[in-house]
Amino acid sequence: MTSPTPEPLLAVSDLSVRYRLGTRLLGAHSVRAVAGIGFTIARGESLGLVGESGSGKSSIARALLRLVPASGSVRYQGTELLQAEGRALRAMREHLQIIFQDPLGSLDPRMSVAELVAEPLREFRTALSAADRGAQVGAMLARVGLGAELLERYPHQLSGGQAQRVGIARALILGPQLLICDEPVAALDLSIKSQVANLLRDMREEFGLALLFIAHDLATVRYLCERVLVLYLGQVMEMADRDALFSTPQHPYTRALLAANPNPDPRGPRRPTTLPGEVPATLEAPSGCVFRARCPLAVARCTTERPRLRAVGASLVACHRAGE
Amino acid sequence: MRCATRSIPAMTEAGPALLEVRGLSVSYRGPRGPVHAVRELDLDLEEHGCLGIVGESGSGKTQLLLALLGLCGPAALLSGSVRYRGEELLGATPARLAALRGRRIAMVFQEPQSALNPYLSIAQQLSEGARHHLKLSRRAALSRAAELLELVQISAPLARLRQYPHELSGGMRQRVTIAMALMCEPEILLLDEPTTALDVTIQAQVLEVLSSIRGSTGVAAIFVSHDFGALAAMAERLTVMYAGRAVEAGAIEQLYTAPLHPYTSGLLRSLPRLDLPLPERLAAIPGQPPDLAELPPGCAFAPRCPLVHSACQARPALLRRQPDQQVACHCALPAPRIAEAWS
Repeated sequence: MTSPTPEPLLAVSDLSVRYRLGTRLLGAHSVRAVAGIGFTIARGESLGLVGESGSGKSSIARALLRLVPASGSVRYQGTELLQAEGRALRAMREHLQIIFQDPLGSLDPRMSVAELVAEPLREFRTALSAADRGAQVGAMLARVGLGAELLERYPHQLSGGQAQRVGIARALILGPQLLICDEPVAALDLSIKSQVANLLRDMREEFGLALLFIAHDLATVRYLCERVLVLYLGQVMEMADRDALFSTPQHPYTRALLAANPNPDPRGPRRPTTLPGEVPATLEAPSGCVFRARCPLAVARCTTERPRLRAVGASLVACHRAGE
Repeated sequence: MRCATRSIPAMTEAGPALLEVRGLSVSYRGPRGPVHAVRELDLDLEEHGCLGIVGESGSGKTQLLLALLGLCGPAALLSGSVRYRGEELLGATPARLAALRGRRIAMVFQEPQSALNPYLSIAQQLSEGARHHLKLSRRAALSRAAELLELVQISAPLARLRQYPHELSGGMRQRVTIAMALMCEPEILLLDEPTTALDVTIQAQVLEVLSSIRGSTGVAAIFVSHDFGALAAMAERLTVMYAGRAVEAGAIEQLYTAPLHPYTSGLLRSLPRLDLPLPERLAAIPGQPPDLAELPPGCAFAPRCPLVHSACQARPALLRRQPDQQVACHCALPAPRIAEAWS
């Protein structure tokens, strides 16, 4: 389960992200957003990262792209990314691309669609002639379902769905092997979400793309990901293949997330089951299990001993009570 | 708790409806001509009922709520009728509207952060309306505020009253705005996407709070959302809006099990679901919601509709097709045939 192929595309181990708060004079302290997590992504595989706000999902994405300082190890095809500098760092950016939740906010308002999608080519494919570049941009836009009439438009003239397609075209034009998707459909309109989810699925098939798909919408994760990692307060609670996770969730937090998902069928149970409390906004993780304060199964041991990831059923679970 | 024991007005046989909206239109002047945010909308809210409104951005759902409270601003052109217990609210004096707002009809907004004043303590925000409308003393308003915080399941209410919005989490803030809306025992709650900005576990908590409040106070609600799941947990009736108009309306079970408008049908089929087998591919409605300043002359959904035909160049009226279901569509196919058109 940890690694279906001998050489994963991406191997993350002991990744931690810490944000500094305050100043040295007033007593510097920091908050740990990601606490020593590890996972792998095989070539062409799609891994879902789920959890509530504050679980560290976006910090992981940013750490992989070196947008925030991180410790631990991130190996992409055998190259250590966290230590990469200069040319190696630049080369890595060609292979790892990201699309964001807010499609408009992630596009430069002063660039036209044609310029936005051509920009990565201008940076990384300097030998390309203007004509070839234009042809590639046109082909990519067509591939993501945008017509040539949009080429000269600016971001403010696009709908949310169109802007997200531009973001996807921009991310894919260099032919990356891994696409990080940070809540790519959350902000889109109801009738546009499934269009973009289907587009991402097509792109995966067509380009053999691997995805790190971050979302709080479990149903979209189930549709797009083969493996799922459930995070809470920067730690892995459960990791499993899609079918195992959704049919036999082992961690009480995974079960709570699934139960909280409101069912659109009004004939079903009228109210989703609720998990008490909220993700605590503490600077330091509590002792023992980070989830224990909200856990219906917590016992004394959960306060003193941090559960390690272990195999229960078809999952890896960090819970003392799982499998009982 | 005072709220729980509040007397529920007896239903009179032929008395006027709690809220009756007829032919409501809201438009704004735009650079390319008028922009019609809401067009000829009819709604009925019954005593203690919950009416859901589903639609995408630009469908007019928020404008509708603002129009009910007379909050569209001086640039808006309103026509039609909004009757609260028989009293016409369109064209009512600002003083009359101010007396109703927060007192009889209260609103909960999508962003609790921007609905609360960062400079005022929770106690001040909660008591303001009750002191103004109910002329409660400072002390009485505070004790009512504490009761309401308890009602929305906030622990240690007395300590919370001294806090400021930035000291609370998003879920907690949304409960505070719900408590604030309930301070004057309104008869109607207008809920504008109250759970959209929240995490799924917090959303479930807030939905539970809203349901239990409806049970204990009997307050009626109009619940606007784009989330079918949240609507299914709350609403008894549903109106589906598209480009400012109601395209389908009726009992929520009826609309869910046998949607007769291709838009409703397509939306329901496009939802990724946890409770159904994984589909080979999600059904997707092609195209995008129309520009309200350049609506096509006939049915606004026609450019995206799999069942479009020549009749769609004329606008379909909202007509009763089932005892409890109205649809604005020229195609008279049964629900399974419409669903087929999407696959």
